[in-house]
Amino acid sequence: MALWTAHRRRAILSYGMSKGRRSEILQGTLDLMVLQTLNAMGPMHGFGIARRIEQVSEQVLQLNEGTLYTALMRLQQQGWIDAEWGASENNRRAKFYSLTRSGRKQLEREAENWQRISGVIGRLLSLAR
Amino acid sequence: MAWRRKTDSDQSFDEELQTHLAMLADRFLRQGMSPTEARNAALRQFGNTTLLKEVRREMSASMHWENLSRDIRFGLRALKRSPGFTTAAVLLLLLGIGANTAIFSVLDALLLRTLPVREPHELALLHLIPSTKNVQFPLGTVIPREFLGADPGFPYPLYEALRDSNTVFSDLVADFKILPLDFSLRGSSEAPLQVRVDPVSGNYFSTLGVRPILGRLMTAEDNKVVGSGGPQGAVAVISYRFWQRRFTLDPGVVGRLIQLNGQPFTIVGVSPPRFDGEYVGTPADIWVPIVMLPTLSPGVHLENVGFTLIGRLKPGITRQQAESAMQFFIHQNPGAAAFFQFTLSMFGIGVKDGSQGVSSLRAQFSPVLLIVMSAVGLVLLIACANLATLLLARAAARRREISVRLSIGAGRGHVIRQLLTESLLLASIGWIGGLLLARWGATLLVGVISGGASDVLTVGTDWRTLAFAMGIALLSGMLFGLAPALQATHVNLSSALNCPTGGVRAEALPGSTGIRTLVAAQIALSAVLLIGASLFARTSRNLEALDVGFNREHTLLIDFDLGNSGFRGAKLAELSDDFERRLRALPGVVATAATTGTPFGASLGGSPVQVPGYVPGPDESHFCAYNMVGPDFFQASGIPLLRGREFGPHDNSTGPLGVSNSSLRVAVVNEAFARKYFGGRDPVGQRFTMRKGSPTERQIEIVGMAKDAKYGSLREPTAPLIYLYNAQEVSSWRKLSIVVRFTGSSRYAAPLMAAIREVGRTNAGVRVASVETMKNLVDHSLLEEPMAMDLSTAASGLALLIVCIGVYGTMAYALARRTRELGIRTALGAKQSDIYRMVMRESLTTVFAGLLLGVPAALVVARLIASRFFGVGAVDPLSITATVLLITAVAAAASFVPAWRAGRVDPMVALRYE
Repeated sequence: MALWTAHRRRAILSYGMSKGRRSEILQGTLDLMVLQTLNAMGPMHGFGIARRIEQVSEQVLQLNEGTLYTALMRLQQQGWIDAEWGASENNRRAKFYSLTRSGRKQLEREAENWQRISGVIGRLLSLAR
Repeated sequence: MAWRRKTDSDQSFDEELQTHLAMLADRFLRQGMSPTEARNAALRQFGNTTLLKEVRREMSASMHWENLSRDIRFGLRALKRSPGFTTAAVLLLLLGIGANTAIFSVLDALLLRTLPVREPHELALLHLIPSTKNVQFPLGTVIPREFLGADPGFPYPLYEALRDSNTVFSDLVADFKILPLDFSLRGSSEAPLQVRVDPVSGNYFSTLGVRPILGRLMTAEDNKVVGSGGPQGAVAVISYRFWQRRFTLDPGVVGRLIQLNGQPFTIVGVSPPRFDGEYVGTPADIWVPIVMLPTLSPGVHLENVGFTLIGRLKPGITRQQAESAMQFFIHQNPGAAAFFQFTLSMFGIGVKDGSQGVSSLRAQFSPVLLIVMSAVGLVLLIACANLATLLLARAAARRREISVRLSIGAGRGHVIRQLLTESLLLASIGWIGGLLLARWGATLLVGVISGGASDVLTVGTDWRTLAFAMGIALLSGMLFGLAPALQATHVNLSSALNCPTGGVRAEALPGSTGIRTLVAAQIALSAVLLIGASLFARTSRNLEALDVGFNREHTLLIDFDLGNSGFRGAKLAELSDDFERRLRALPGVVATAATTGTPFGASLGGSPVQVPGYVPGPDESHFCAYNMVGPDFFQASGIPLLRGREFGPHDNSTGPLGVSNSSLRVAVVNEAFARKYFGGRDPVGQRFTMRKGSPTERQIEIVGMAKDAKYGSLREPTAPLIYLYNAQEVSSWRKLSIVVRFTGSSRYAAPLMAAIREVGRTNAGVRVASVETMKNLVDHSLLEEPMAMDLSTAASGLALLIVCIGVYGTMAYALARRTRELGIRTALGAKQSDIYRMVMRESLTTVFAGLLLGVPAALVVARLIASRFFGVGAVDPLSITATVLLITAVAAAASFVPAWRAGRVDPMVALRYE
């Protein structure tokens, strides 16, 4: 049990890149993914967001679903998303998150930023080869 | 980990997570798992919910406004977990803040507070400034400026002239000094109570803008006819404090008939709380009309005593304008100029700020209080450095906790804030406790500076004191909290987390340099304090042991108040003879002698002298001080006669024995006189001239030489002094003091003094103003030094204690962290003595680094306050050596216990440690 917790904890805490088959997620990356998901799909609950990311990433990214909530809290704290209680498809009480206006702007900025950096990284990696 | 109260928001988050888990479980169920399997798989996929909740709390803490109360709650809990540290920290802060605030509140009362009156900044105090030049009188008498003395106060007629025809003050009040009088209710048989009575002019209260809390205050009408105003006798206004003390706030006090020194008065009103006159340090209990002064104090006439004048400046008038207007008025008013010829020829009128009233304590004690406050400030600084050390050590122990909190998303700022909250919590406990301690300390301090009466200065907790205490508390909190907090959050996350016990390897000891620096700083500051304290101790001892030249223990000094009794010249000599005869009849009295000048009392006379063979320098004063004394003066005062003889009946009233020369007189001179005028040769038998060319020219023959005796400040070298025989100058007797020598225990002084006062009562018109032992007179001139010594010694004792704790704590902590290393050393064959040596070397290195910094700093500080030392220079090898030895010894002792423990480490245990 203790080992399991330690393992999980490290998984949550890790910043570095994994040597494993499945990549762990950079903190900021998860935020960007959540913002984009809400932008594309409209208001969603946490479970829905997790499924969407899982689906889009095609199992390449290892998403620890609890981690998703730290991202949601962070984004809520920044005022980029809002939360509201509602009913899920199966009539469960669930919290639905939606993008705010400043969240949309942040998404635009971050997306642009991401494009630029991934472009640079991509070029760098292709040069190195 | 359940150290937080669950909130609604916690529950709602929990619900959200449960929903998510349920949805995940549903999904696994659909994939064909059993309900238990599905639940476990969901949990596995989701991760640790408890940890997530913690993270949420951390994050929401920095989000919600209640985060402060959370931080405080958390801080309190963290402090409760280490009671030893908390107790030590609170105690240190309590003492540091308390002591600083106590001294500050006294300084506040003395230096910062304004009088509780209307527009205090409009008040101006008139004072007389002694002339900067020698004063030449029409009759040829010259008074050099050093003989002018202090401000004698304004004569009443001058006050009236200034009040009635000035253009700069809307009103001007006169105020006599506080008189100690006997108070009793009329018709009661209770023992009289001593009260402080202030005779003031009728416009006193209206000018100051003070309103009565009960009844009415004095008016100009009350101050016109002696003994009028009230239904019976003159009016009296009592202070709120006196009303409280004597009448327990009885509203029926107005109209009560009272007696002051047997004279009838009627209470007409009570002054508001906090107002007790303008003499800061000597509050008035009762105010009476100034016209009652001669009645209350026989021998005093309004014309021949000095008054304090306070004016309220007209709008737009500055103090400079008022000052020139006053001077102009004096010179343009021939009547005034002629009338006050004597005073005004020696003094100029000055106008200064009156918003803070008048205080003799202010000038006397402010500098020394500032020094003491700096010393106590240093103690607080040392305490802060000490706490910072302890916190650094604690932060190292809490590294793992902090790393976890940092890594799960709490911002560095948040963790710093949390750690600072703990420090500030300690600081606020110190603030509140310190304020309580300060109230008590300030009262004690006022008692010390006022010579026993702790009620003379209101040192209440005003906003300035509160703010000061809060300021230093906050500052200390930041000071000792910030560095450790910064250091603590500066961690390498993975290394801290990977170390399973949270222990840290010796070489990676965090803040070890920081801690050592702080300990060295504490030692440096204590060195400054200790050297300062020992310099004050030596000063105080030097002053106490100083040979004042006379007998302190068995000599009494009686001062007479002649008033305008008409006793002078031969009549006064007769009175003195009669009085001395009766004194000698008292048991224990060995010798008595009349004298005009008294040590630490009345000033000496001065006259120009010409000594054959001595040519004064161009700027040198021709003046020499003289004292007119009776025949047994040297025996009575205990001033030893080194050469020649005393005066005696054989010196007839005009000249020395057997010489019939109308202008030849005898004199005894002191050693300083012989040194100056005769280059140290035996002066006995030499002659000189006093007041050459004036009608009172005298040829003087020196018949003896007396040992130097201190008449004024103990710090200054003794000036040349001539003792004249009073029987030869009877016509110039103007004032009288009598020196009394007694035998037996010095405890006999008290009953003897009472007996002398009793004898004094039988003389009509002449009052015994004071009877004091010589020891008291000397001690009273020496109040600041012993106080500085006591307080700075206490401060450095405290500092040493703190340093001791600091060194012990640091070494113990450092060695505990290095148990493993020590174990390896022991296992590899290091002997116990090697370990001792290593530990001692390390701790002494820190100590010497501190001393290397502290000793030069102390020298700089000592140079700054060198004027307050006596008989010891700013660079005093003894003080420095003693300090270095003491600190080294204390530090060595403090590191001995940890060293001893380190030496006994069992290598097996040590190697398994961590």
